[in-house]
Amino acid sequence: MTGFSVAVYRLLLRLLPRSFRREYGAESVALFRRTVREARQTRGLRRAWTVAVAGWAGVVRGALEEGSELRRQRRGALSGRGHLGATLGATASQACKAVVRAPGLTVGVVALLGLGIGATVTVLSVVDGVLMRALPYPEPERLGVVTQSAHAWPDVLDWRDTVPAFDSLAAASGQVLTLTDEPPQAIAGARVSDGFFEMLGAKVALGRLPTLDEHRQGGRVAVLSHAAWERRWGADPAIVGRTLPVDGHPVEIVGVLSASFVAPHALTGPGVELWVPIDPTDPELDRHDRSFRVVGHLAPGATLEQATEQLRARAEVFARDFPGLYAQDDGSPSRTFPPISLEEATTGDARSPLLILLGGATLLLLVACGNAASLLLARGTARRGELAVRRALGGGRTALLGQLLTESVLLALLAGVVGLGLAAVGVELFRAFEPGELPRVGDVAVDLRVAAAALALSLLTGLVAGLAPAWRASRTAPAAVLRRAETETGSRVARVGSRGLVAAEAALASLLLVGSLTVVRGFSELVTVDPGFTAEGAYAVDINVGRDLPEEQRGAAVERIRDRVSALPGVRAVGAGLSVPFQISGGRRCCWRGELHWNDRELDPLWIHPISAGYFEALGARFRSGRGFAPDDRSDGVSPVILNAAAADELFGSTKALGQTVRFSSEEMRVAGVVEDIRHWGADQPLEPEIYLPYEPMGTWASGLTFAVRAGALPSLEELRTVLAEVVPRAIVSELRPMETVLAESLARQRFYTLVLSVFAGCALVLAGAGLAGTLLYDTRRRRHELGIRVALGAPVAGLVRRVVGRGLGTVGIGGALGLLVFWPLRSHLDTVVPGADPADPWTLLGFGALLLAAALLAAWLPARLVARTDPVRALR
Amino acid sequence: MQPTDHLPLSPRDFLILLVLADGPLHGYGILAAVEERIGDEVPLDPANLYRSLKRLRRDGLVDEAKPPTDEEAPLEQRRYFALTGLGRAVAAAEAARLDRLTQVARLSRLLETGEGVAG
Repeated sequence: MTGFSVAVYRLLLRLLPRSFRREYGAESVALFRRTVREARQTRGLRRAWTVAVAGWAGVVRGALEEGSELRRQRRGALSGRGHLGATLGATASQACKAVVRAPGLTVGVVALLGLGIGATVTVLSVVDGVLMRALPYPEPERLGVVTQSAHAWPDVLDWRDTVPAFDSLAAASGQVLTLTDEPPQAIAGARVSDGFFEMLGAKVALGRLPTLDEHRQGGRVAVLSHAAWERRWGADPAIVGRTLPVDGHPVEIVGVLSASFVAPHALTGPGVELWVPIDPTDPELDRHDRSFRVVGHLAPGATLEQATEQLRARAEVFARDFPGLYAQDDGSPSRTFPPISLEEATTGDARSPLLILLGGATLLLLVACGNAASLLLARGTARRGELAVRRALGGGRTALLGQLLTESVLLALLAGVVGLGLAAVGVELFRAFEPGELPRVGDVAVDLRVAAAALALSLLTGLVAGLAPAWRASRTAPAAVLRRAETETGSRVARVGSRGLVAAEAALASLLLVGSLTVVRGFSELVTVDPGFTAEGAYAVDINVGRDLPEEQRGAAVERIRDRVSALPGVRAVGAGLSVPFQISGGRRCCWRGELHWNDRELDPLWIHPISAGYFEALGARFRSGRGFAPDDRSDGVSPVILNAAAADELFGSTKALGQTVRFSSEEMRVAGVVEDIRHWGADQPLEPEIYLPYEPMGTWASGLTFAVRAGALPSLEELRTVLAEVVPRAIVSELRPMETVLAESLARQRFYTLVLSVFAGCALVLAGAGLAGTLLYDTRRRRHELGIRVALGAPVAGLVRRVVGRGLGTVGIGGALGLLVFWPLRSHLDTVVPGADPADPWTLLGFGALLLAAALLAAWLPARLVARTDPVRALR
Repeated sequence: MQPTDHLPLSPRDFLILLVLADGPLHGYGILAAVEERIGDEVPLDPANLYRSLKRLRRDGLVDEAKPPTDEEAPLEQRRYFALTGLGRAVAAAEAARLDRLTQVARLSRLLETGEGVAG
């Protein structure tokens, strides 16, 4: 801290007159350092900062006092050798005048830079809110999440005793619960263990948290999130003490969490509304039920590495004690439970795509900088007369350089204001379009922190955009300009310089363009991936057949619902499963792991889906051989099983699968059909071996099912509720969605990032094209005289046009090649935005070339027209 | 030039003269003495301390003094400053001026007076 504050102090001292610095500068710095250090040692960091800031402020105050003294002494006369404090005001006011004098340029530069800054600040706000801020929990750096998916409740109890690196461990499991009110509503719920709220520092706005006893006895109590309390119950303070029916059981609301408590995304998913204690007396909470995310608080002095070791040791023990659940074939543990920090668990997936967006925005800003620099360069050339006069009258080069840089910084600051405004809109848009998968996106805002970053960014932008133009303009040789005899070489240097700038812009834009094209191509492939079923005409209806229904009656209830819905007009097929494809997220369970045997061959692991008859028909899945389940399948006493193509290929190879007898958990089953692969997990996920078992004889634990319905048109949710109330009175019908919507939503994240990157790339391409057009146009205008002579002497106009166009294409070509060159080593990172995006795809490269060519031709069109219309008489007049 | 020509002094200058009245001090010594006597009431930072010293030297109220020892001291302790005769007179004049002002304030009952202190 001392080093930094002293460096700032030293810098600020330059505001004071040189004579003072010569005499007392070193001593001031030494004294400042000593006071800061002493304050730090004796009174702490906070006090040290106060002292440091007071020291800085003292210098500024001193400089202001000196400045006003100086002005009093020699009013009006301003020497170029004055100290910075006094010249600054004059320079700034001159810069203001210059900016106001050229409103067209000002608007142009401010708009360009504002666009770039706006895009960058928007993404920066998101990055800041999502990735950079500490998690809103006490000691967030000491919280760790036990990974490798979810864990069983007995695991948690074991670790509490055997992993001393964590001084407390808590578990949570997000799941959709149902408020069995009238009408029933789905509510985002989470089951949490004791210690969960305490570890995350949760406070209540009303009432209290569940007590330890309530946790231990699985008390039927719940707390509401603040948002749910406001949205669903209108912030009714009488909610505490009320009893709500949750999944058919009465639950007493004992408290409302404070508004500041944020559900831990990595543990429960976002937006949990109802929190209930885990019921440890529930007999279903055995080692098979792996549904809990586990968070631990590191003991004082303990590290995540120690926790890793201790958890690995337990994994060995688990593998020995429960080989069927925790061991691989060779007896080694199938999972080792490595813990990672809660922060990493929260932001891990979001980091890469967000940083890529930030990179994209920065590229856009740089292209805008390049454009602004071109404009300023042109302006500098136009102002050569003015600058030459000022130099001839004794204006120092440094002063001139400072003046020009001040102008560009002033423009950039204006652009910064515009950019901040754009970013405020941008952040709103981002939050509106973001598909709700980013953690903590609710925290994102353009705040002081971001505004400070925007300010710094603007200053930097001003310097970057203004440096080259200012440098060139300040090098003006006054005599030459005033004689109007600047040499040809001088202007050639300028031309090459501005063309270099355009090439650089083209390179940056190309980088962005090829990146976004790659992503677009990858995305278009995702959209066209065969999901294995026909979404058109299929609907998904979430129906809970009744949690309080005994398991053995659930199969019959499913059949009654199937019969009733089938009887509705227009319905062609109905089937139920734990989920429909592409729907798996949050607390929803689709399936579980298992293994299948055929002769001496084994398929392990594979996914097991329990489904009812009619499921495949309703989804419109295609059979390779055989058929789906029928209600009378078990008439001969052998259960049928259906394999997906991947499972059939892996287990049977070239042997025909249909009719074979396989063994599943010691039961003989007959392969009734092989269905083409269905991408249950999403279009971007790999295919895995899967088998389907009849739902009904499974006596399955889940009562929350999703029914697939194939129909011309489906009745409304209300109608469905009415007709189903006749056959299964306790059934809860909570949601009805077309499968096409389910499919589209599963790609929402990829679509979003693709869209944002494409917008950036489009802007960059337009800016770079405009930059090229501007430069060529300017070039052509300046050479009108020369062109006129050439045409007058008989040079073919077509040749001249070709030269202009060729020059544009050449510049863009060089830039494009450079962009590709830089892009190539970076390309693999795009995989995190859209999996499988491959830039080596010929269509991508072709599209890239075509777009670049089009942009270059479009940019060269205006100047070429200007050349073509050159009238020697007018040009030479 | 009369001592009164230098009046009124800025609080900062006056304080520096006051602490120097006890004997020569280096920059750090002045800061420390000011803080010890009146705390943070008049903010004194390194830059403005030296700016004041520079001006006070120019006006002849303060001069550089010989360090008491020749050994190599930290940079901020190498230069000692002492009151000149004029400086002492100016400080006394400023004190007298402030004292008169304080009397006026007492008479206007702006200041509480301790028993036996006010005449």
